[in-house]
Amino acid sequence: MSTPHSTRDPGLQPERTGLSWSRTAFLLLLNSALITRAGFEHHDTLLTVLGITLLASTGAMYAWAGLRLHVITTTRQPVSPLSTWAMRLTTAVVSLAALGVCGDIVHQLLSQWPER
Amino acid sequence: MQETSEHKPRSRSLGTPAWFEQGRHPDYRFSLANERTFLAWIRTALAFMAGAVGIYQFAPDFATPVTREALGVLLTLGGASLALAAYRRWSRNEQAMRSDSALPYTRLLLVVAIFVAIVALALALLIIFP
Repeated sequence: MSTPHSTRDPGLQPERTGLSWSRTAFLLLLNSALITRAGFEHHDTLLTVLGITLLASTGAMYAWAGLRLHVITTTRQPVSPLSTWAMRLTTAVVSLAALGVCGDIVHQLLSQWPER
Repeated sequence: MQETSEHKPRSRSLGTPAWFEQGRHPDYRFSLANERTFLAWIRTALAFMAGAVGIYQFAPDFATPVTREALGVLLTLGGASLALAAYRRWSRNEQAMRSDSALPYTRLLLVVAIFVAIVALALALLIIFP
């Protein structure tokens, strides 16, 4: 049932996984750009800080995308403590960023509440 | 904790999940497919967040401010939940593969499909009847 790790992989799994990380990093870059621009445009400090932090995370994710391909092809060990931490950090960054934007919206809503 | 004399688990690295030493390593291709599925869920969460920022910050003429903010809150909370669900699902799939048990069934796809349909319908109605 299980295939030995040394078997040649016709499915190009390492490349597909590396590219999957790159695609995710690109979408993170898009979000960073949107949030940073919104922060600057509306003089919103929280969004600006969030956008710049996400931009740094994007750089780290692109670096990991390249490293991931190298690690898989050389070690053939798909799950390692390092890869688990990369996924945990990704989860933390995305969920905290979403909650940050949500907090900003709620803050705006509450600060303008009496006027509505 | 059950331990056999000939197989002592090695000391775990900081923060490594307990299931790392359990069962046997699955086929590496299945583990990588599981990782790509995790990333696909993360991208869905990022798409929700981009939608929220787009509606909230870059569509000043769309509907009323409160409606835009409500949609923004809904989409960002959806995105945060999806990101957390993505990790949980990856972890549970990995554990199932290590113990040779069936992959856990998830209602997440149905929930996301209904959520997206409701948001899309609301957006369509707001565009048609501003």
